[in-house]
Amino acid sequence: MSCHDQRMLQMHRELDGDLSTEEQIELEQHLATCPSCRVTYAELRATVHALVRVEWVKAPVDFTESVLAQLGEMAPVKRNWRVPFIKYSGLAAAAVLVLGMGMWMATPEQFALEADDTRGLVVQDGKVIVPEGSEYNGDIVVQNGDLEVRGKVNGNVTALNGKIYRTASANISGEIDEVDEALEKLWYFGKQVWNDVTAWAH
Amino acid sequence: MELIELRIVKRALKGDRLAFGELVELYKEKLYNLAYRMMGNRQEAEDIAQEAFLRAYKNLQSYDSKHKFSTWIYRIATNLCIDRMRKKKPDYSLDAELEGLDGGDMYTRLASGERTPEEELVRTETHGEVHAAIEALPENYRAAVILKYMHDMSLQEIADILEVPVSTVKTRIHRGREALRNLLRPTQLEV
Repeated sequence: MSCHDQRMLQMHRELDGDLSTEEQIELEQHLATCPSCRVTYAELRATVHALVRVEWVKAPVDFTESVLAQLGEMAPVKRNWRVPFIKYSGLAAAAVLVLGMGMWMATPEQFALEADDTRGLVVQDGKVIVPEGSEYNGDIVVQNGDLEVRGKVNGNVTALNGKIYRTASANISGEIDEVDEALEKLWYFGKQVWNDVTAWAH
Repeated sequence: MELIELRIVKRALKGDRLAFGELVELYKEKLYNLAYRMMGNRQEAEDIAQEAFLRAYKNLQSYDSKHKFSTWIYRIATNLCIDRMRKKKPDYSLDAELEGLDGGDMYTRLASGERTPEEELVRTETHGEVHAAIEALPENYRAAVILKYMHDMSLQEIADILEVPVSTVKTRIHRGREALRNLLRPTQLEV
């Protein structure tokens, strides 16, 4: 390898952070005395500087919706999204909907319940109730409504723009999430995720 | 973050579309920007990013949770980009099979400052020289440079994504930087 190539490699290794202290000092001493290497090194640094400043662009607004729509066409949904029957009182039938992902994004204000199995769940006054003494297997997601757990839930419970209430007899084995969508148009993970992604670009 | 992702992946594996939607939300900006820098235009970026998620969904069963989900999905997207780029350049290959050889290959020419057709394009641009310069890079160098400098990946992560040794990643980054230095020198770099 020629002297020039050796120097080039050394500079690249320096940019990689792979030089020992001695090697670093040696390079700095050489740069102090060699104008052409100094220019080359400065250009490399400027190149890296330009690269890290390249701005991120935003994905199309309907990106996720579009992906999920294509998923829907690709393969049938494995889970049963439709409600076989719900015991309810005091609530108009039209307001009780079980929605898949795509529809939820289009109608964010509506009450919705997503559950593996709705048998045993009670919907009353815009609230979903796990009755006392009952045992529910699976996850429950309630949107724009509250969830009141009086019995046992073997799974995760999530309220989107709603509250989760528990009585003394309640027992929830999984995760309990209350998500306030007014904060950001983000999913379950709050601002931190978004900050992490956007901090990237700067 | 990884634990959260694992939970989502588990739910997605059970057919939970809502959960998979969360994964899309988490990674859409990353994959879209990766594809945009690789392909140079928004339409292909969108096509590829969407296709990456569809493939991930189809192949979720084969995802091994011992490895980072991020690596896995980035690999899918990067491979799609590289495949698409190679289909667009059937006449000459600027590819890595020539790596390690001295003289005569496109890389040496770029390193020496001679101009390729792409460089001519770069020279005529008054705005976005860096963007055009990146697009003039051969796909293997481009991927390594983008993953390192625009996605902050470690050398090991890039090696896992590109499925090459770490030493190869280093070489590609060196040559990518060198090529970019020559492409940008008269226009961009204030020294």
